[in-house]
Amino acid sequence: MTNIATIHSNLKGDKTIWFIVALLAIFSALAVYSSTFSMAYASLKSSESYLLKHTIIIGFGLILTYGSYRMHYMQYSRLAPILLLLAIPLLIYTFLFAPEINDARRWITLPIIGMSFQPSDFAKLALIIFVARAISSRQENIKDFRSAFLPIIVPVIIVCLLIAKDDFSSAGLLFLTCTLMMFVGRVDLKYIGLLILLGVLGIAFLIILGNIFPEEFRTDTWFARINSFITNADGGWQIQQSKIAIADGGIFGVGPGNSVQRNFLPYPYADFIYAIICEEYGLFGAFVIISLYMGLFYRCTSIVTKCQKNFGAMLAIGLCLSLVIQAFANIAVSVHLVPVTGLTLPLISMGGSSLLFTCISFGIILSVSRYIEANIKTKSIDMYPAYEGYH
Amino acid sequence: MKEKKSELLLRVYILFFTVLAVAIVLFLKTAQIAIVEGDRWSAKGDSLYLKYVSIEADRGNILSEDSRLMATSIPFFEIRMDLNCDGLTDELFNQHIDSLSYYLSRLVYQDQSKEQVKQRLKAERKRGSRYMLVKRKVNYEELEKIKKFPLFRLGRNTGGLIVVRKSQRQMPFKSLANRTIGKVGEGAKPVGLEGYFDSTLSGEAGKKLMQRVAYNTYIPVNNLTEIEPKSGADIQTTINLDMQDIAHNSLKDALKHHNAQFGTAIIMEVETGAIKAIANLGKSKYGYVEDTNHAIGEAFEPGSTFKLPSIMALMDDGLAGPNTKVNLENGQTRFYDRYMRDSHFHGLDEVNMEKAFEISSNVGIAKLVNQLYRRQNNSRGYLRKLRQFHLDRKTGIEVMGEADAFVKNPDRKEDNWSGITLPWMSIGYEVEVTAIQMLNFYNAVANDGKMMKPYLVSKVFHEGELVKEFKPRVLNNQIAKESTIEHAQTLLENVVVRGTAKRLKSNQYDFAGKTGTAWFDYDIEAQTKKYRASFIGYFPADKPKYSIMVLISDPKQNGFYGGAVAGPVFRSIADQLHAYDTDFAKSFTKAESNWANSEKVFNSGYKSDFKKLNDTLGFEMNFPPTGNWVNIESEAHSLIAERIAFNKSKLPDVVGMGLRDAIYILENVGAHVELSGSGKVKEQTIRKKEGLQTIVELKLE
Repeated sequence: MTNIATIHSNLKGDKTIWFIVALLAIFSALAVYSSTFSMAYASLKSSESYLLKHTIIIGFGLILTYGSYRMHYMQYSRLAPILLLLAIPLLIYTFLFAPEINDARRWITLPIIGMSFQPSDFAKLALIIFVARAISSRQENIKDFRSAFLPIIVPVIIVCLLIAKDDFSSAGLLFLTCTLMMFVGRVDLKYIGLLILLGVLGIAFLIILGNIFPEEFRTDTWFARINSFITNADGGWQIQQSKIAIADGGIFGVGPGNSVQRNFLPYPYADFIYAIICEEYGLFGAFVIISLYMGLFYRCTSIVTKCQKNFGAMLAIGLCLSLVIQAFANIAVSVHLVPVTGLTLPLISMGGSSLLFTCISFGIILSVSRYIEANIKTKSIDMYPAYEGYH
Repeated sequence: MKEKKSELLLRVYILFFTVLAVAIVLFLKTAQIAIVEGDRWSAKGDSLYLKYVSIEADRGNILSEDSRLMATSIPFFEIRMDLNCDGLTDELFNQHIDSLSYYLSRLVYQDQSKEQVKQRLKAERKRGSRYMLVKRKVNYEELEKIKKFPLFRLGRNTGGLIVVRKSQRQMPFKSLANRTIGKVGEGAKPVGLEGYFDSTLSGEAGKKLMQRVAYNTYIPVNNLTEIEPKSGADIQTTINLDMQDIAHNSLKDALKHHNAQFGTAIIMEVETGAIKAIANLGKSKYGYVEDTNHAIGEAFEPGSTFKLPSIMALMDDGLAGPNTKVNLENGQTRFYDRYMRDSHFHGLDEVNMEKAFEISSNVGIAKLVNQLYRRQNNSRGYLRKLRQFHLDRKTGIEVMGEADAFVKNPDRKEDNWSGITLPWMSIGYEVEVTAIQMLNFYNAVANDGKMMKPYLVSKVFHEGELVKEFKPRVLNNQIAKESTIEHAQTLLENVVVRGTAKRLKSNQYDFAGKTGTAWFDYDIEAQTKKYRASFIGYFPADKPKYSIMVLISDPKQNGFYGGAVAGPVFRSIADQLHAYDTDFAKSFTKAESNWANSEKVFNSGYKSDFKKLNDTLGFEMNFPPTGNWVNIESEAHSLIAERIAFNKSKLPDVVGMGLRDAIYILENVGAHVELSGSGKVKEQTIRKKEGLQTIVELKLE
């Protein structure tokens, strides 16, 4: 009890967000333990070994969360251009040289550590920090095209295009996140409209490219998924399995560890973990999961309302949007509202490197909330424009 | 500033409520699937339900002493077709249905035309069939053919071919030792070696993911998790199939002759305790068949064969010796209110114990035991001896369901020990033992007092490699004093020389044994009495090699005494074993070494055959190092093998050979053989015909 009390008194920042992180981590451990059953069976390992590995990763992730929470969020603003300049060459390298797995080049292996990760995860984080910085620093003339809109949008387009070829869904979500950040950041609505048009054009561009270089692009996969979504009213085989899982769960679920559908769903521990949660914990579990993400989003919007044009606010809302949009996209796939994307459920799905970047995102959000909280406690943040002086 | 703030807040709120709307939509959609469409999806889930089904491992074989298969699992396959598998498109189906129907009608269903088959396949596909039975029992060769049929050759997921592997337990020697081999599975109680060694034989089951396609019907899903089964181990028994055959047929003949209910015959190797044969035959509507393991699974009142432990107890405790006097009272005496009679009229009174045993006098043995033991701590001395002889407990033979012995105990109230228990027990009533137990006791006597554990399994092999070996085990190094054993052996020999088994005497070998006749429904006032005739003995008497127990229950004609019913079976088995076992044939070598000149014996032929004969019979012939063919000559008291060299220009001389060798040699040089008679080749004449063909006429005698 004293430990918890100590943690409670030492952890500053938004308590609700800390609570959400903790609950998501617990859900993650439970769901992963259950859904790796068939994988464990196939590899003759025990589910416990996957649970252990996953717990270690979550533990490491939470350390990263704490680390990034301890850093003053303004530090990220300074790092933003450097991170972005690191991310772009890394993406180009991946784009050209990464080993091809399932027709896509997404993963590279870090030398020395030997851990593989997706540079797109890193680029996503870097881009969001960069956009947050760009928007907040240009608030005075944010409606202007040349001095505000263009410097923000060019890096966004570059990064999204580099990701799009091999990971179309992630690129789309990142683009959407950035667009929404700009929307919140008071960018002129006509430019926002332009962005939407740009997004549509981008898709068309990729499809044309895909037709010219069918070997290089995964247009077949995209079309197959979209086609299956449009033509098959019940969804493809995977989606049907997901629906069966949700239906089997009913209102209260079949109980932890009792999932049957984990045997049939592809990647039950990643892409379809929401279905497994629904099967084991029922609609009740679904409500909790959706509420947790929604709660996170609520807390982040309240940060924005407390300090509107602040870099921290933009950063928090951007990172939060990225997490929530991805979560909702994952859920939307499981309930057959959008075509299959291959996106994971942030912080819940098993999967090493993405999880770590998610944890860093949470850490940054918490860092923002910590200092905003501190400032509100003393006086209004607007009274201390010194932080603005960082850039 | 204020304007900016309100614009930003407005946008944040718009965003927040949009995201909230998305969240609500997601939740509602989840709820719709879970509740509104719930039943539909759950039902669908049931139909797609998969489960792990265990795949049985190949069951190990049961082998005879010389590694012949006594029980083995023959694999066969069931062919089914998934007419609605994922890869079987209409295009593919229509393209191949004609040729598939053609092959099926020609090679699988001879009674159906191609058109009929085609219509059936079409109908089944339309019906949504995913597990249509093509053929229930198909062997490996047929399977290989079927796999190459059009459509089927595309495999499980495209062609729809489902092969279900099954296996059937078979016993190549049919009823021989059937009951000893035993049986497991299908809800029946596991019995015999199959039951006892079930875990060894059955191996480890594998697992396979199966998909439910209809109620209680599952089809295998390929490319998914599968754990290969681990095959079971083979067990090699001590059963000698030739001896089993001897025991089986000797017993069967006797059962028929006496129209008996059932019988058992067991052959045991004296020195090791290895069981060489167990025959169990019972009357059924199909004649006499192996039905129940009477030898091991049932305890009986043994009757007179139990007199051996009784007198051995007396001798071992020093209470009596072969010359101890006893009054037979003309064959009838009284214990309390019960009369005991001898089975044969003998008119004897004062005799010694030896004589009483030889003629199997109930009165004599019962009086001795009763008089001498009653005073010894109220019969407990006698019971202590039975324990010492291991007669109160199971032998521990590796067969499922060995019955318990039942020896009454005056200290146990439920046993109803009475004043007449001891005398009756001493002659084999009010006590129950199994046949294997009695035989094991007699075997210990034959083995100079060393009691071996009877055993049936000598080795366990897994995939050809020896995993475990069971060596003979001593249960008790000396079950009684040496003098007791010696007296017992003499007494048993005398039973054959001049006692109840004197008519069974053989002039080929000496044997020892004891007859037994138990009256078994003595408490029922039946019109006809029922008997259980038995004989337990061993041979040769001086250096026992085999002990044999024969028990025949309820003989209805041609006599009922142990000596008359079971004794001849013992003789028949012993005679045949004596002829079969080459150990007994050695003495004959030197006596008649000029057999090679005999008219009846092949004296030339294939070298390896003669070598084998030489080794088996223990002759001391030297063989020429080269050449495949030899001629055997006898000189004085030894045999000489000489090489036969065939000259290419001349037709080989095959006189003196057996027909098999003769034909082999002649046909190898291109000759055609015509023959008459039987036996060995006596004469060979050449008759040339057209062309190059040589015709050789062989006369056999």
